[in-house]
Amino acid sequence: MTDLEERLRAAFDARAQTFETSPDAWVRVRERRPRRYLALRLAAAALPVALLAVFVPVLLNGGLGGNTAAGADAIYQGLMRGRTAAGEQVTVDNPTEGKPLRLWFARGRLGNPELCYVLDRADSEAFGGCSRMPTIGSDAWFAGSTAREQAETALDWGVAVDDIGTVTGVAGDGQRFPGQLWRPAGAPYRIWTVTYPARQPLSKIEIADDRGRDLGERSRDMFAAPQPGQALGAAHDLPAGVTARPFRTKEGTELRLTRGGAELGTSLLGRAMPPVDARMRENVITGVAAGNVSRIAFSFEDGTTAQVGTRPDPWGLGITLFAAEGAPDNGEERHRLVAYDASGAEVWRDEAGDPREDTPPVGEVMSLPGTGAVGEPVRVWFTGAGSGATGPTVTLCYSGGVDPDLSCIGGGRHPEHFGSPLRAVQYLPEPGTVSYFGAAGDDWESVEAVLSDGRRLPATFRRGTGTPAPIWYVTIPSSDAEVAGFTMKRKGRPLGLFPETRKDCGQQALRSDTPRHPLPAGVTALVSEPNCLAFWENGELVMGLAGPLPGTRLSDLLSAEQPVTWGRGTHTWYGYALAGTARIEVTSSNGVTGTAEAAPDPWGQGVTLFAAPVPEGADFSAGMVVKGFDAGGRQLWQQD
Amino acid sequence: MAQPSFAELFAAQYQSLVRLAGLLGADDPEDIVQEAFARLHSRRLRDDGAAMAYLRATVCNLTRNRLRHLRLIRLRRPDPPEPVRSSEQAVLVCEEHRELLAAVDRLPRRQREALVLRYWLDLSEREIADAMGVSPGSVKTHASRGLAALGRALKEEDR
Repeated sequence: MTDLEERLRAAFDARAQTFETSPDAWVRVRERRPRRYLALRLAAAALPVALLAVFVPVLLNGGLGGNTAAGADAIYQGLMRGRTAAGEQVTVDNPTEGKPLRLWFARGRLGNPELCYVLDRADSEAFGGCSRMPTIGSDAWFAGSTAREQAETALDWGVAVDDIGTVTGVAGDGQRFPGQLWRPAGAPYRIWTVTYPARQPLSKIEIADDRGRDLGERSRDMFAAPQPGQALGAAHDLPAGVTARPFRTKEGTELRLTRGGAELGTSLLGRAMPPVDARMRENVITGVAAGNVSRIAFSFEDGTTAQVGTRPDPWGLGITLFAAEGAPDNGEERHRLVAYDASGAEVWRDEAGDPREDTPPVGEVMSLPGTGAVGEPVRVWFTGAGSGATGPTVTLCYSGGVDPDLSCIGGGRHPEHFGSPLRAVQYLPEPGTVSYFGAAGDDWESVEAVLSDGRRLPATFRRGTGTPAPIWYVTIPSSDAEVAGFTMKRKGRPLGLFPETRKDCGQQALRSDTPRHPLPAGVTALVSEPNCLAFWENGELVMGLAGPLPGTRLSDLLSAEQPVTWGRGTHTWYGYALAGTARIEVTSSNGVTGTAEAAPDPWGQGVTLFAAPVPEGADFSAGMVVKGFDAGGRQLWQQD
Repeated sequence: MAQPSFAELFAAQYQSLVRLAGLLGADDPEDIVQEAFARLHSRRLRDDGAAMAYLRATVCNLTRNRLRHLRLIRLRRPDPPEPVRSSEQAVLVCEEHRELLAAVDRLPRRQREALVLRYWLDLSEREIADAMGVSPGSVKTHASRGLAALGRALKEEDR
């Protein structure tokens, strides 16, 4: 290896270390998955139900027309088994089918809010399902669509939080379509619908609050990913509202399954495919199987069973397809299946494993006190999974709460720093709780949760037998104030303040009536309660910065070691610095220097604020040096 | 059922993929990697190896698309800067790598991808080709051109 190659490797290694990961990453991934959640079963709560969902060929030309109304009612009854309604039902005219679309909120077995629907169709059976609400950081999102091939008009629907007053659909070509907002009495959220020509599918929605304030746009991308490749045939309708379509992609032939506009899964066909590739979502079992499979028997952890018949694919791919309603809600991962051929002989069997087996515990698995009165308790453990190329890591995992599969966060280092905590939600017993917890260092003396009303709740420390580090945890009633951040005290060190990382800082700031403070270069700023500082550049939101915790000031987040906090927008750099700083100078990695004038903040936060255009030609990607000077030109501090 | 162990893959690879996206120039590496995992979860691939290849390719693709999107925004707005990751993180990179990394950032996208995948992830040519969506021969070309460009850039800096 040449000297240059050695240097390149070292430089990449050094830069790679600067990219941190956030502890809620797993939660964020889950929220992006198309309304599909893993779950361990609540073994005692559900009744064993034997279902026979034998495949029934779809009748064309309205052959099922007389049955669809009853079908819709039956589907509604099935969905509400084990759920309670949360608010009134909304009935929407569905222009795609000419039949009503029913939407309503419900609470699941763990008390978690869900949006349910029954979509009645003109020439096929009705179908429906229930999907969970994200637990953090969303104010409006897509939940379903009536769009299908050969339809002239389509309707998308979704959920919005209480203060959303207007939703407008925006097509890929920029055309805008007014939405309708529904406020079902007693419901925890609002429902929005947008009708549009099917040839102009929506790419996003624009939202405004009840008072008409623009709150930005929300993309449809997270709801439905683009087609994976070149279509190999027409879409094929399966029972339960499932649509299958094959595509040729770089990997080979893939079969994509969708329902209500959302992707259920994509299977790579060919020799690598298992004899049965089954997907569970909401209450639906669907998937693809080998050509000789004619029937599949499923049994779920809660005792529910289902038998599903298959049909040959219409594209001559030599596979069989299946879809049926009958899975327990969110029963995706924990099931057994046995596949039979036409003679009744068993051809394959499989059992989905416990995802926790992938993260074997190192030391004791600890249950958090105050959780588990309904459903599984929150269990926390350290694991060795994730150690390897970059050396040993302290990885903390948990299961339990309302999304009771597992979540892990690996720090890649011993817990000296206070990383953002893990978070587990429980809705029952009411009013529910939110637990925060994380790995602790041996010299940590205290951790406190700081609530948005200024109260501080101390966390408890615990060291499990044989674990590589202690943990801290604090459980807060959901009815209590929001957690704005944490304090942490290490032995012999000053108290550290740690605002909770909030990617919705700007979303919240947009709702404020407080005028924004103007800074140079077209930048404006506003303290967004309870814990962040929002910035706009020429009226457009840019990256926010950590703000003051309740009862503290921005100046409390700065010190001689951290004299400045700054970020970068599209054209500008901006931030706040220690009081007394009158000018900030940045020297970029390629030697270009830029300056920003700083002035005391107008909010009594004890810092100076600054903003300036990014100097032309500056490379802000690495190796920058930032210096602060007083009004007399004397250097006060340097950060590099 | 040959089911990829999604949770294990996440625990083991999330941080590494965030770093990959960052090294490729993504302005929000976590956003890209979370999307890659979300897309992986709705797919059933051959095995864990295929899942890892899919994740790498998706991270490369999404980063590329994101950079293209930002370039289009820049074309519509005057005097736009290059997208970068968090400035505060970037300042942590030590001075000795400054010139080299600055030169890497100036490389054409494909050359930068080839070098990151080869010298940071230590991937084979076949794996790099899969991640970049190009032929193995092209990988050689991109990598050698990238190295040559870096060599030239560093010599110029030394003058």
